[in-house]
Amino acid sequence: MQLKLGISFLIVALLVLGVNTGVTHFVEEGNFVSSFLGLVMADILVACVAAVILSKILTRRIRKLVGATAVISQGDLTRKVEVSSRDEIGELAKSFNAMLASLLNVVLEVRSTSEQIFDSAQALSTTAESVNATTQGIATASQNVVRGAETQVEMLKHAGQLTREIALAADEIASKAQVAHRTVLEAGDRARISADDASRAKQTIGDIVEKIQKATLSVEGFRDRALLINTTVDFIKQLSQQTHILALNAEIEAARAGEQGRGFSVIAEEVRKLADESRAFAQQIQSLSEQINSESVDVIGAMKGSTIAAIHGKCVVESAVSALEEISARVLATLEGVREITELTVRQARGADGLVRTIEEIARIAATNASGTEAASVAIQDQTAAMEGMSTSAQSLAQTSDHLKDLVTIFRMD
Amino acid sequence: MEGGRILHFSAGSRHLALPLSGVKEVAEVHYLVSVPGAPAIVGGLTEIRGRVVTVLDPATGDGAPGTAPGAAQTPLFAVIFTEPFDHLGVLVRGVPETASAMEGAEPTVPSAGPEVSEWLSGSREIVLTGGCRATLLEPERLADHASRCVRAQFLVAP
Repeated sequence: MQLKLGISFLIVALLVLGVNTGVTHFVEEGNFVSSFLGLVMADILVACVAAVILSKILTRRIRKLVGATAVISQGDLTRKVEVSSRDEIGELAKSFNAMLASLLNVVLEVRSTSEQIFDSAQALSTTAESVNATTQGIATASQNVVRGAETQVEMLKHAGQLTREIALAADEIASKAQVAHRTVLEAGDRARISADDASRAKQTIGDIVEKIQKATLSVEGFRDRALLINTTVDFIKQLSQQTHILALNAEIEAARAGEQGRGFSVIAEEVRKLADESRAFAQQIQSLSEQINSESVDVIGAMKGSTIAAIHGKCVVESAVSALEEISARVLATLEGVREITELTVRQARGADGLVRTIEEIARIAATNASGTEAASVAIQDQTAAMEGMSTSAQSLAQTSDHLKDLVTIFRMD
Repeated sequence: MEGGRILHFSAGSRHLALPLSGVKEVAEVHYLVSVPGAPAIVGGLTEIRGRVVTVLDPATGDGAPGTAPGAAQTPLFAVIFTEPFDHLGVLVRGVPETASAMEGAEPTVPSAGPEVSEWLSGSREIVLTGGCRATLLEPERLADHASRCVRAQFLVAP
């Protein structure tokens, strides 16, 4: 092409030279301006003609190329440019054909790829929608998990509170068990002391019973002597009564004797008075004796009652001693049980403390899990949003690929 | 009667008196043998110094039941009348006492009524030293009353 252009320009130059030469021959001397103008005009004319001719020659294949390009621009990629020369235009045509072929391959590739992209986009959109649905489900599930975790945290807090209360109660039970242990220990000691005191009381009551019985015998003897006094007093009373009657009869005889019996009447009166006094004193003695007898009876009754009560008390004390001994034995047994209970409650209190700490740790972990689940839920929501965006992008990609396909369909490839 | 010595005693609901001159003796009644079919006024028979004495119970005369010696809480005595009624005596519960009739006290006649025995109606009352009032006992009237009661109880064969 350069050679052709060079040759063309040389031809043009030769033509111009020739024209100039010719014109110079025909142009008169001294008419320089006219000659110059004429020369120029001639040059221009020659140049124009040469340009037209050369341009037509040069542009004929370019126009073909342009025509092919126009056809190709309409989308027909099957049109090839005929290559009839080996110059630059021919090279251009070859290159154009090659480019066209490459473009065709590219378009075919693009169509294929767009179809694949479309299919993939469709599949991706479907998958994105599925994943989105799944993610929705996961989000919902994670929300439920979050709510459940929050509920779990609340329940664990509540459980922790209850466990703390249980721990406090266990501590209190342990302390009370220790107090009960000490109390039972003291009760056992007191039971032993009480049993000893009861034994001594039983012995004392036995001594008292013995003394009361002796005193009862003494009082009964005393009462017998009082009864003997009564008998004597009765005799004395009877004597005084008889003396009184005797004095009365003496007075009667004295009254019957008249004046001679007056002195005797006085004596009888004095005797009667003595008899009355004796009877009065006897009556007093008898009343005292009866009083003594009555009081002796009362005392004997009271002493017998006391004896009975003492014997009963002795039996009660014996029963109490045996009961106290049994209580002491059972207290010792209970003491062992209380000691075990105390140990168990102390261990329970320690276990409750450990349980509290464990529950608190669980609550803390649950809270952490809840927050993590919350973050996961947020991430899932973000993922859902991203999946929705991806779905949207996939749809957009599908639309784009579809558009690309539509664009590719503009091109005719077969 | 005034200033004289009086033997006074209780008989049932009444307080009776008897001048010492009308009393032979006062004896304790240890046992009293009841007479079957005898009226209530006849308390029974007793033995005093070897003699059988009919003891009259003036308490029954007022309607009060008789008292058997065995059941008596207080000792029983018999006031034996002087002759001619020394075979009779009055059953007394408790020891009789002596006193003097108050001087200047007018004896009064007790009012008759359904509670007054036949042998007491019309008897005099006297006041003794100490202010005690007693009905003066008349042995004749009491003996007569007892006899009539016995005769009425035991029919005499014609």
